[in-house]
Amino acid sequence: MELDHYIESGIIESYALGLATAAEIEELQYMRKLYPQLNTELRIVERRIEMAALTEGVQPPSRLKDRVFQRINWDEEKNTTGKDKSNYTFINIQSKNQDYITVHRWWKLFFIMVFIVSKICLFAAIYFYLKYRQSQEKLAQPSSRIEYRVPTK
Amino acid sequence: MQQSAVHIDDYILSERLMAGDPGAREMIYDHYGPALYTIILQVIADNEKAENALAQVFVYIFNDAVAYRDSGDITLFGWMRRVARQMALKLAVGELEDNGTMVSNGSLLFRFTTGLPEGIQTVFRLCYYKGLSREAVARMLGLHPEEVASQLREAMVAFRKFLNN
Repeated sequence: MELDHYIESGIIESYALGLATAAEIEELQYMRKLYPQLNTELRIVERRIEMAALTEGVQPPSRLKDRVFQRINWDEEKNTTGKDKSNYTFINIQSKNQDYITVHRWWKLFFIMVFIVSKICLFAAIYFYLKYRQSQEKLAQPSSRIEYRVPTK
Repeated sequence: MQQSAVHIDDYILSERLMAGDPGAREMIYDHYGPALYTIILQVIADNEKAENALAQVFVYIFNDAVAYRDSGDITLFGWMRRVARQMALKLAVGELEDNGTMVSNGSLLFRFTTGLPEGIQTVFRLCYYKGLSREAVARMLGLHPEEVASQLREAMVAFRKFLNN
């Protein structure tokens, strides 16, 4: 009897039309667990509304179908490429400008090494040049002393 | 029982939707598209907005079919109808025209609404076609929220009788 009263209150129709409040929905879900026959009632109401809705439907513009399915395909492609990033194709879209060349990254290291070696060579050259001059000066100094001493004898 | 035999099995259909079956998607669009479009047109006056709403509804249905299972709804169409109405109400924010009668002359809801006594009819229109809460309707009509709830309950009892006839 209590269940009949609950059904007759129009709660099922209210839920089916989306007019039930959060508290009413919660109560209905609880009652559905308690009385599974409510599911049959709800199914009957839903089907009656469905039958009417299907017969009185207005055909949407045909272009809309393409739009929806294009969007779905696009979403799926986006998800697929997002998940499998390792399997991508690299496309070089650099313009064919003759003023620029593209070289392997190892050339960068090579040029750095050449630069460092050239600097070492430059410092070595300066160092040995100064050493050479120093040794030349040393050689020149004793000979002048001898020349100086000879007249004193 | 005979009625359910003509319906596509909702469980199998939702399984196929969740698996991303293009055939199931196309079947759902062709079968339910016009019905859902009508529900949206009952809420939105502008055709372009209504088309956008329908596109968004189907994108949601196809991408989030799992929400149907989570909702605990009995029928797939019942769930889709509620999704469509909610989406339409969301996009119709700011529309002042009363569009409930525009498309659906002779439709089930139109016939039901026009058969209601004036006061209850106003409450039902504001709640269903405008998506206003009972409190908002009460403020708008200068009534107590309990009175609005009571009138809406009367409308739903009437709708139950209307469906049974």
